[in-house]
Amino acid sequence: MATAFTPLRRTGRWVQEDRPAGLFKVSREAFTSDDVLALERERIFDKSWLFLGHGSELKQPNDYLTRRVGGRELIFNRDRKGEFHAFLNTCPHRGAIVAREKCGNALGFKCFYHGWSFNNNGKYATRTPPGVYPEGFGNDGSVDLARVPRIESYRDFFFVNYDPNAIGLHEYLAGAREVLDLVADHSPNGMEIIGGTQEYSIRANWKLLVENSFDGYHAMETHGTYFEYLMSVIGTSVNDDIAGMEDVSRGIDLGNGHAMIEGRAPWGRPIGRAIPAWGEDGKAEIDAIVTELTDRVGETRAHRIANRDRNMGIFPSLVINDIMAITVRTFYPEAPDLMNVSSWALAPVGESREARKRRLDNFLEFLGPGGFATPDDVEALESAQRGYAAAKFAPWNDISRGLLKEQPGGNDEAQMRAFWRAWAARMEDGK
Amino acid sequence: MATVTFIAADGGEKALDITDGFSVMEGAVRGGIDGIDADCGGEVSCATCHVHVAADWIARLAAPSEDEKDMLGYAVDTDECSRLSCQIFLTPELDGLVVHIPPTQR
Repeated sequence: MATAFTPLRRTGRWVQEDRPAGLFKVSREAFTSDDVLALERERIFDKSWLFLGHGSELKQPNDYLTRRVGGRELIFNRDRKGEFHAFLNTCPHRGAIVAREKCGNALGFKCFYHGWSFNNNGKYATRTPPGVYPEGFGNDGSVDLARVPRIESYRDFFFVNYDPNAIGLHEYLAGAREVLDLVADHSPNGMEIIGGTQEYSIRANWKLLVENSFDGYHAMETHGTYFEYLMSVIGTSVNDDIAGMEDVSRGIDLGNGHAMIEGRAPWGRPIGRAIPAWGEDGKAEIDAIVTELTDRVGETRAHRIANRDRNMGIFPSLVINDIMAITVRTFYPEAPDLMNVSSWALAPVGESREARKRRLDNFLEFLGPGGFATPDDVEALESAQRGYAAAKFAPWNDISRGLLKEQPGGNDEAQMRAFWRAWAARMEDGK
Repeated sequence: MATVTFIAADGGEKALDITDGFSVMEGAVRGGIDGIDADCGGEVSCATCHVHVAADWIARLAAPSEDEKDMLGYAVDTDECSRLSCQIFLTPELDGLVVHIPPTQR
């Protein structure tokens, strides 16, 4: 999808492609330069739909949470009528952060610096004696909380865009919509963010985590320890099982810079793939879940939801991994070599206690910063970032794997190329 | 817990049970009563949660703070029964309280 009209050859400053020759290179300067980051802020983070939060995080009217999105502090909240809003979390007076808690429930917000107060729909709500400000001060909305220009949602995933003229979220999502549907359809009762937020930093460029998040090729090498442990639990040989899955996994361009790998992994999936370690009860429960799913969405779709694993990147830096649990992850650069990561677990509403336990065990065991995967991935990314100091003598990354194939597999690098082509269109072509 | 009766400008009445410790304003806003704007959400900053307390109740409320008295000066068409409803906190002794909602808060 979406590669029909991209040029066969590109010789940009940072991204170079020669498709007939099967070669794709990315300049390491893209990972190290302050100028590149400044341009990314202008052309990517200020002109893309960025994930704000999931509707389930604000269950009641007047609920709010605060979050840094694309370099700015935001309030994501619901007003007294339950409408969703996104405001810049900065006092219109002289800039202090207005909502200082991570989350809560409040009818209004009061700035701690000079006491300016606001209705939770953003309206300025502070009386001052006559003569202090001009007559009618604030009636024009000029000292209301500033709104983020655009806020839209799809299947309860809320996004913001700092560009008031951006295309709509629905169109922007392109082929990623279908994948969000596959995730949202796990449950007959809707999905919800569960548990706390995982927050951690990585001393590496944000685009390294984009690449890592849908990289199939690194799994056996970087996460060898995990797969050995997994196989000892499951009871089959690592290599046999993985080899059998090679032909199932694919790298897929979803359009607009979004991409995913989809395949079949050996671990258990709470939505529909049991492993022996979950016992007879676990198997029975999974069978019941798959039966309900099949009745609801039909056999083909149910099989895809239950028995296929998906790692998806939505441009620029939202990752949704629907694997042994579901992780929703965002990450933003604070410097070319520093990113802050936020990660959440998504789960079906009304899941059984046992299923929820299995899911959270998986989430912590593999996906979290204390789990089997992330620490090794962090080591890989930070190692690459250190290696980029040699850019003067080793200037290019190679991401050619599978470029000559009709249908690249999960171990190829089509996913990365989809991201980089979109990145280059913005950064080099000004699109 | 106390039952509070809200009488709208057009005479319509609605009663709400409000938990002890919550303000009349908060009970009203969360309970869907119209006419109490309460823009600042209870921070004694906006004077748009003004109510006229029923004459037989006004003396039974805890006295207003200096901050409330100052802010009440900004409310519209106040009288000796006027209070900012975000500063009336419910106790069992206030069970049966009646307040009148003004026609406008601005």
